Amino acid sequence: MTAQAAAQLEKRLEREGSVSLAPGQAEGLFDARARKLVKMSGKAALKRIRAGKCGSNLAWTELTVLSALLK
Amino acid sequence: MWLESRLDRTDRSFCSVEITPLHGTSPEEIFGTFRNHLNDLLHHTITEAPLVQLITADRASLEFRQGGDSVAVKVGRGYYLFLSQTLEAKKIKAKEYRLRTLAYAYRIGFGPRREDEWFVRWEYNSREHIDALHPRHHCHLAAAAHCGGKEFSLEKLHIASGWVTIEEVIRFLIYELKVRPKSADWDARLQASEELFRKWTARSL
Repeated sequence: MTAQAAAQLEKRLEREGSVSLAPGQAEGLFDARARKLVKMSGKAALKRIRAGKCGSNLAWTELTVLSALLK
Repeated sequence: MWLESRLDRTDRSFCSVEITPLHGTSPEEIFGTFRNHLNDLLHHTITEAPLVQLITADRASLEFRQGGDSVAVKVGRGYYLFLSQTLEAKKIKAKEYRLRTLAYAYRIGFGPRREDEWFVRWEYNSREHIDALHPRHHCHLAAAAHCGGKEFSLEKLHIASGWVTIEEVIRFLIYELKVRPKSADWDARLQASEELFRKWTARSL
């Protein structure tokens, strides 16, 4: 997902209140948020979260809750 | 409204609510019911800000967002609430689902952004998605404790806690922090909502 597509999805979410993501979109959105919040790819952030090796600061906390969307 | 009639009935016979799962034709419908319920609870207790929801098949996340970012929302007396939950809808039979909370994060602070000062956080992550050794249900406090000749950073420690519901966080804001409730029947609403949570998740609190 491009940064532009992620930004459009964020706008839609705020406008409509609820958005159902197509397969692959959740990973794309997580990647965009990970790059913004912790300056790394979604894949790298997810690996760190699942290994219990991320910090407990607020950015990581938010990403960790969101990561539960991904299987 | 379904929720209004449910609350009226629950107010009168709180202890006799039948234990049943959520009914719906799809996880999306179930998550919609849950989001509407939580928004209604928030709007009648501490904030009119709406929660937004992302849905992927049988999972959904809920949070407050503004300007493309997660935010904490103003709840009164200078306090702000951050709320984030990820849930799973488990199909138990045709048109019947149970909700499972996979993760939550609640924070009470003094501004909308994550850079703003905060003083308490409650968090939970299921072992299903994190291989961490710290207590799954925990809290952080923006404080340090000096005792027994040791120094503890309560901000960094994962202090073990029980399951903390959003209803208990709202109760803490209203009763302990003196945030003015948006309706006189806030306590009945919180109790009724906890009862629904028990029904929808089959979890005892």
